[in-house]
Amino acid sequence: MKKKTADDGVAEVIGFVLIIALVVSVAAVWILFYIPAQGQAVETEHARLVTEEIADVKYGIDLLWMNGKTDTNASRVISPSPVQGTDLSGLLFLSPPLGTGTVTVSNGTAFWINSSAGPKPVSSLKITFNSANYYAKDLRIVYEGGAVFRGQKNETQYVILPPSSGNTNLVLVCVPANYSEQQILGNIPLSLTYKYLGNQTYSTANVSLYKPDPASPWNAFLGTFTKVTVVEYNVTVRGLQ
Amino acid sequence: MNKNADPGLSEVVSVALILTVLIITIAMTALIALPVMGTNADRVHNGDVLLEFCQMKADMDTVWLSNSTNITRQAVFTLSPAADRTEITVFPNLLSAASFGTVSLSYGIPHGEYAEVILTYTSSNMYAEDIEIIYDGGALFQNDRILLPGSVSGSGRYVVVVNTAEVAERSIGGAGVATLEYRLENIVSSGSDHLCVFRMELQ
Repeated sequence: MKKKTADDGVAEVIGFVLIIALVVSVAAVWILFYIPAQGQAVETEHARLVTEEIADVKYGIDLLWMNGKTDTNASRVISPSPVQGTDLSGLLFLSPPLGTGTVTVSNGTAFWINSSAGPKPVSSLKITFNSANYYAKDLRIVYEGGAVFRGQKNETQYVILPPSSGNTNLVLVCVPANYSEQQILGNIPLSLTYKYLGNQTYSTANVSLYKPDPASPWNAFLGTFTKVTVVEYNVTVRGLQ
Repeated sequence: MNKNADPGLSEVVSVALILTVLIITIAMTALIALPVMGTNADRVHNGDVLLEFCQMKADMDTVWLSNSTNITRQAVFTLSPAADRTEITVFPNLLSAASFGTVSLSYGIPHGEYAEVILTYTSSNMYAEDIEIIYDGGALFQNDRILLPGSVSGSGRYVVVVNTAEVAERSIGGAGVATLEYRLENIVSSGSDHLCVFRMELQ
């Protein structure tokens, strides 16, 4: 120690400042790495949940036409955003803020059904979920006409669940003509109510896209079938009433 | 160093200061961090129970839609965040077991010997707001607002009922897990409505 020129207590003050610097740097590393990692984990888990919910919606819709329950409705829930986060998000120990999601119900890809009765255009039912994540990559899941796709709008979409088709039969889930679009953005659970209106069968028909598109994933499922069944649905999405 | 200070005084002073920092940290944790983590865990659990009820409604709908009788199925409800360990937290939430919930099965609107079944979940959360989820004969309500409507066919409804002579009213509270076993007996017509008669047991 320099006993003559150093003030008393300087060593302790310096020690205190260094300890504070250590605490601040630990907090900075925490906020920069742990909180985003936790946010990404929660959002990824939520993406898995929404995929499962949309697959359940496909299952529910198929159940109605398979059991011939005409004019009957059923409803399922879709969670547009993960449930987590507090009012003080972003601070130490606390949960990260989490994004919201958008559910859209509209008419999707249109098809031509060419049978002996002449060409008939139909519009498929389209239910889209788009996420708005803070940390993880955004997710886009589309239920269309009985198939479930995943992928962004300008990317190649890949098929999660194919439509109900076989070698000789095809079932297309459609909506009535001039269907109006509904869209809800939110972070509370939404209800999706689907009502089976009825079906129409076409024998020995050729199904093709209304607007030919070589990049569409539907090309793998279309063609000529012995029996084409078009089942019509009315779908509404809403929040808590 | 000051030649009047006792030897070892600075070490003692620094221990006292470190203890002070430690006490302040513990106090801040107890007053701010634990309640915030508890609120978070309660909210996540509220959301999870709502999804469990929605899944149960969807499964019951599947059963009567496909007329699948005499197969016993189960639905599981987690009554508190302590039973619902899905989130990964670095710091253990010591007070999450303080929140608990109650699931009860009761009778609703009577239809002769049957009554609409009402399954209620009421939470008693330590930190976050409470949630009340009611499944009433096919429709699902959250805090008295309807989330999932019941099924309608033409002008008649499909209503989930139980035989009051066979199914007893029951209530289970706690911090663990409640299991509902249900089985479709048959579907009975009552006017324009269809009564889906279930046999249910809550344990």
